Amino acid sequence: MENVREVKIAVIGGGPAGMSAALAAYENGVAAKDILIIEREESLGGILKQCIHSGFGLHRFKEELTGPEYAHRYVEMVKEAKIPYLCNAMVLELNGGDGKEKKTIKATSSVEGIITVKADAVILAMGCRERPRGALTIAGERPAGIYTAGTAQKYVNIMGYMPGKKVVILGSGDIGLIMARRMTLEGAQVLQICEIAPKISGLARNVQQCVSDFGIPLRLSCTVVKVHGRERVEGVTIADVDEDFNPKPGTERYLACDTLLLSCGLIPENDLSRAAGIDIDPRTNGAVCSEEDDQTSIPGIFACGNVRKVFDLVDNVSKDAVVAGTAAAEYVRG
Amino acid sequence: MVEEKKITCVICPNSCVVTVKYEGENIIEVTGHNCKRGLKYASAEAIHPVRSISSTVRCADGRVVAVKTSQPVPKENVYDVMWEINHFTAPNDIEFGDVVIPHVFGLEADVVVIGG
Ligand SMILES: Cc1cc2nc3c(=O)[nH]c(=O)nc-3n(C[C@H](O)[C@H](O)[C@H](O)COP(=O)(O)OP(=O)(O)OC[C@H]3O[C@@H](n4cnc5c(N)ncnc54)[C@H](O)[C@@H]3O)c2cc1C
Ligand code: SF4
Repeated sequence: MENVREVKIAVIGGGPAGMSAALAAYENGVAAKDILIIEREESLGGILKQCIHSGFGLHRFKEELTGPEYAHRYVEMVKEAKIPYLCNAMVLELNGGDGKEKKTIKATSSVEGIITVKADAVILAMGCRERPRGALTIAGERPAGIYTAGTAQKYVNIMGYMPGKKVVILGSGDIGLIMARRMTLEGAQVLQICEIAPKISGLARNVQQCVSDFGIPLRLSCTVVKVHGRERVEGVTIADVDEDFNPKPGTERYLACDTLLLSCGLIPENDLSRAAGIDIDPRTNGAVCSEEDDQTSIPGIFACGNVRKVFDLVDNVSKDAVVAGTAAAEYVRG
Repeated sequence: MVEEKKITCVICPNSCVVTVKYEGENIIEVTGHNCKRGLKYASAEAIHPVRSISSTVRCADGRVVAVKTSQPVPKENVYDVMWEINHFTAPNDIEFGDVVIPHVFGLEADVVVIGG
């Protein structure tokens, strides 16, 4: 039998953006029962669940919270408002039609099987993923021990498993800097952070408290040119680069290590949106939206948070989501 | 002797560079901050640096739960606190907000649960 639900507003993604958008729609007059948040993981919270360091919420809550605490506040508000949510449900397909008829979402749930959700408006809040770019140009085999910084963060903070003991980090993005500290505190040795650009991409506060505090060497205009090891990483060769990012001969240095973390930036998670025919900015990979109401190129589909553009601060993600949630509420009212 | 330290404020992402002039335990002049929190942070950082710690504890049933110190701890005790956290087995029924290690390493800070 087909499992079909009808709602006024469906929210794809239960991270800070999705929760905040759903709450904003609710506060703007949409009944809680007419909203549905669909989340693929087993609980709400999004990427914040693994960001256990503090620094969140100074703008939104006027106090310094860790990621899980920031998420917890929103989860409590969602529960308090009795907004329905479906976890362990991954959206596979979105059909926006020409914008006039109802939109259809197909999701697979580990509990309910295939579910179809029909909605007047859809809010995209799928967040972002890490850019794997850095990995592609490096010579050598693909041994075990190469992770994106966010994957390592999930291993250490959610599963309690250390991916390695001697670490080199490529890229100076915030997640890499935060993982440099985290792994150092857990007893690993971070030998080197290499940034190919002449300037650090992470925040100065993270350079200070995650890198300088622990005396971790950070080198600019420097990259990994080769990964050594067949089964497992045994070491990397790093080299300085010129203005065109080409390695300078004679500057190569070998570092024995068992882990290479890649921290090369974030890209919006827009596979679903693209397949639905929503315009995507080819440069940022974010959904093209009107700045006033976060509406995408398909009427009645809104996007907010990191799926629209990568925000540095989750406080701004929540703020952006209020715009989308409010606009969606207005849209369904007609 | 009057000394001077340039401190990157880590309270918020503005990352102001604050200059603190001090003599022993006495603050003489603070410049470059953008708000009171920064003034307070940089003054303390110059004479008594402290750090907040986030980590995880393992429960008896193997579950991994995120924790943090309820307030910053002296910088020189960071590894002592990490040692205590890593050598602690939490009860299975801990919940968000519970204190799992009161006065960790004899300090004022408690270790509290922040994860589910
Ligand atoms: C590894 C990593 C670390 C980060 N660290 C920080 C940090 O320290 N500080 C900071 O301010 N920002 C950090 N960010 C940025 C962070 O993404 C945002 O601050 C914030 O979490 C974005 O909120 P969001 O709701 O847009 O996305 P997310 O928090 O990523 O939430 C998106 C949610 O959508 C769900 N989802 C995606 N696709 C589907 C689908 N098809 N079906 C169902 N559900 C789906 C995901 O499971 C997830 O729960 C980090 C990002 C990453 C990737
Ligand atoms: S001084 Fe104030 S504004 Fe500047 S970084 Fe510190 S907290 Fe932020």
